[in-house]
Amino acid sequence: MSTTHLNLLTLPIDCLLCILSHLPLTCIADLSCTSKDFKETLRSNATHIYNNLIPTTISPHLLKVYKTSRGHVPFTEVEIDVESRCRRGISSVGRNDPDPIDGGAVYYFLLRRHKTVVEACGDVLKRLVGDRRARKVLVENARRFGEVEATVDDGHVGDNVVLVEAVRALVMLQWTVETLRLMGCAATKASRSTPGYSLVGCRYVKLIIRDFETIDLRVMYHAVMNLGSKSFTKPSAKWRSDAQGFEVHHFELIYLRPFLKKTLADRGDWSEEV
Amino acid sequence: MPVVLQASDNQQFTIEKAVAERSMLLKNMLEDVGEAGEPIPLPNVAGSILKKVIEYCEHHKEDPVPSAEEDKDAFESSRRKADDIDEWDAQFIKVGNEELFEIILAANYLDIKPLLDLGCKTVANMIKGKTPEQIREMFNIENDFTPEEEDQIRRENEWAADA
Repeated sequence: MSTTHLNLLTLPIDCLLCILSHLPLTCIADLSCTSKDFKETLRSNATHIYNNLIPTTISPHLLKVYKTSRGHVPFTEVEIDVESRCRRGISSVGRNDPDPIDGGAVYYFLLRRHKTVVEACGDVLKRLVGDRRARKVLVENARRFGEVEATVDDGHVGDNVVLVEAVRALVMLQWTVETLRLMGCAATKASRSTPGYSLVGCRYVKLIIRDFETIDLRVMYHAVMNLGSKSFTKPSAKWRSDAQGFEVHHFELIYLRPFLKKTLADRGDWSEEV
Repeated sequence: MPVVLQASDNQQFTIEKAVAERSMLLKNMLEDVGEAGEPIPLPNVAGSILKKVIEYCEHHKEDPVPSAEEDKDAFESSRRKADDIDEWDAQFIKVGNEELFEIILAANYLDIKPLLDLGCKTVANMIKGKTPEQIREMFNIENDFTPEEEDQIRRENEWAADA
């Protein structure tokens, strides 16, 4: 078929946006490479395009976690903005920034968690939902976020609600581990032979954990206990002097778990049932 | 009461009201002006394309029309599956690219969302898996980037694949 006189940009913007709503991000990125007009059109409609992509590419459970988080860590505006901009190589928004609106920030933030947590940890989520003790804490967290009414008995809470809370727990754990990695240099440099020991004693780690509510620590503890062989760190056999200092095998289980346990005990909230 | 539509080339088509009402534009028009029996002029749609649109509306005249909010949500979630095009629809939309664009424009003008969506899904499927060069060739897009600019854009877009 001849297409010599057809140009996608001759279509009204509503039609073009409808076409884009059926394309994955990589294809949209390829379209922006075709011409200056296309790049500008996509850029000026970025918020609309990203909003369309969210329900098609992000897990509904993760989306539910985001929507119910009410700005709770890690879904604070600052977290989303800074992480998205840093990782996408977009310069930070300053007072003189002519374009302070970044429609892609939330999308990128969610997409990353979709890939690293939901897609990569499907088996962990299943285990968490099926873990009797974890389930109790997850349901308690669901009540806190208003997803389960106080009057509803634990036994009557559906698996879907628990799965949303399992995603919330893993997202929280992933964020914590990533933040600790960023602080890793300061946290572990002083004790390269026993990084776990310094982690427990390190004030920077305490500062990171301090702002978590006890229930956050409890859900994270259960998330760690159900990780199996999965880890959010990338283990390296040799010591690295940069911020990746404690990328050891099973970081969560070997180093973070005792730390969570100790913090819970310090708060008088530790029992074998957690 | 049948409805008469008049295309831009003055061709006239007599159709059932239920068929005409697949178009939100015509539905609202019929509600506002009543059934006057006069041909409804559609100056933005050529006869050959209107014939095709009517064929689609005839086939789908029994489909539920999304009106209430919950129906819209259901429609939204079903329409987002780009690969699941109904067999009849897939055959219907097997047309040349020029005709495909004309159908999209007509569906947009007449406000027939499922048809607009079908056309857009088809174009989206044509784009998937193509390189920027292939997309340019397919849709006659002139590359006005310098090699440096193009390289810069590719670097800016790297995160899309690495997220």
